[in-house]
Amino acid sequence: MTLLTPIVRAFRSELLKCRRWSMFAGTGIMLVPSAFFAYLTFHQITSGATGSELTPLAQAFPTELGLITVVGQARSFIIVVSLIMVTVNLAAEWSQGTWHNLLVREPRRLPLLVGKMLALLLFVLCSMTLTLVASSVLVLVTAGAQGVQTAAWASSAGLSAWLAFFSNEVLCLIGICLLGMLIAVLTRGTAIAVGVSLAYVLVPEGIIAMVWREGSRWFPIRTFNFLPGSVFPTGVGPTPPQGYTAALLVALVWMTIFVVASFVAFRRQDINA
Amino acid sequence: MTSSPDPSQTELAADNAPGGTLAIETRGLSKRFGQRKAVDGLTISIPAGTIAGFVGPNGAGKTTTIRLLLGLVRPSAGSATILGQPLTHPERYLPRVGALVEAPAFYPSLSGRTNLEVLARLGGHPRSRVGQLLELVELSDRAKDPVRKYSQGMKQRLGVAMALLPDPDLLILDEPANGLDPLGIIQMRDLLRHLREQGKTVFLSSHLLGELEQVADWLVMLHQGKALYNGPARAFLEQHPGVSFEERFLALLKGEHQ
Repeated sequence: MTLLTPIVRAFRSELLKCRRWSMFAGTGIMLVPSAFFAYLTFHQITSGATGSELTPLAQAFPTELGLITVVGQARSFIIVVSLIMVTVNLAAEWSQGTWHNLLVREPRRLPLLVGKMLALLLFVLCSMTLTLVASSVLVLVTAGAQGVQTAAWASSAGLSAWLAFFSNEVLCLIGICLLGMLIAVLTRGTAIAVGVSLAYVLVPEGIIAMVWREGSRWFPIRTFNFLPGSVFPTGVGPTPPQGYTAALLVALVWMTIFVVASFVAFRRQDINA
Repeated sequence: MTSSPDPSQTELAADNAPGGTLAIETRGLSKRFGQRKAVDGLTISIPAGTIAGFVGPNGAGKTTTIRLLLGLVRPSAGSATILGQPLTHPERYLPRVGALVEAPAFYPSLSGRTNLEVLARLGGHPRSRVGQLLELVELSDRAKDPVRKYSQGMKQRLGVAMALLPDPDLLILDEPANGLDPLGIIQMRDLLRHLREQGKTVFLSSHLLGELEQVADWLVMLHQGKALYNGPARAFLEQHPGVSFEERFLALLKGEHQ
């Protein structure tokens, strides 16, 4: 038996649990509003609506960045849903008292956590892929029906931009899911894990950004969000003020911190629930 | 057999084991939660191939002891050997251990079969084992139903199936008769005896003293985290002929045991 064996077993075991309706509900909650945001943005731009926020979107619309600019409007929403999906699933093992079943069958805690997280990550990334593809198809079909010119979107530059956005979104969600893992391991309860996740996304980074703009650019959610933001035109963003390479390195440092902190905490925890 | 831990306990326990070996041996095992001592210097020996009853009042430390043996909580002091392997390396002995801890916990929206398959995949057990166990606990006809629709007794039977998944050499059961009807309790008793005939060890925590009296070969009595008695069940009963198991248990708790 190699070190990989327990990881593969934990991964396959977790995949079975992804059949739960609550997981598919998470995908639906991510997909439907995101596609609606994309449609709404498309409709606002094509109907000639004006406003300071819409101007950069309208400028990017006819270019090869037009499609990702429209479908990328739901990015923050996708981040929040992904974070909740991971924290709820992991924290529920404490709330439901199911950790002891799992740990009796696989006492090596780190491979167990790695396998579980890989499966959850795969599910979240599949949900995100489905969301982006569905939103893109919806916008393309609507554009086709309304006779809106989309040649730039389907050009090789347009496809490259879509793939660059997608791959950076994958990196962003990996970071978000690792943050969710740490929150679940530290809080050990579904309700408190969701509360802490939402509070963290909505409050502290925003407050710090208002009083300490320079420092807030290094905080995890902002850094993760800079990665896909770097693909958008300036003005649509969020473009990383520290530059893409620096943002990527900081994001990797945050991911490492989340993984190490989660592993250290989980390895030493008493499972009393 | 005296109530206090004693070096001869190990020899006595080994003498009582069909193969002369011990399934569980703890030495000064302790667990503190803050200032509270849940388990306090516990020294017990359980012979292999027996049904060992584990009794004590609520809060005596039974479930914490079970969690310690399963590697779910870390001891504050002491050591233990389970199936010949040290407590510090649960990965060496847990593949041969099945456990049901307190009320069995499941994923309520998944079916009984899928709940077992989750654990079968995790432990590397064949899928066919799941079907066999569902037959054994008579849940085959409800295997596709979500567990949230199961009665308490059905959940308990599914928990027993979960514990039997690895075909364990040591089965640790915490209140397995909870929620079972009289027929279910009789079936559970038969199952435990059948497992003993196969040479397996059953470490059985229960409040049903009359039930333990019928099946247990060995007895561990726990009070305030310490062992009041650790020895053959028959010797415990024969010390005071005519006194019921429950009366002896209560007398021990009140300090009238000697």
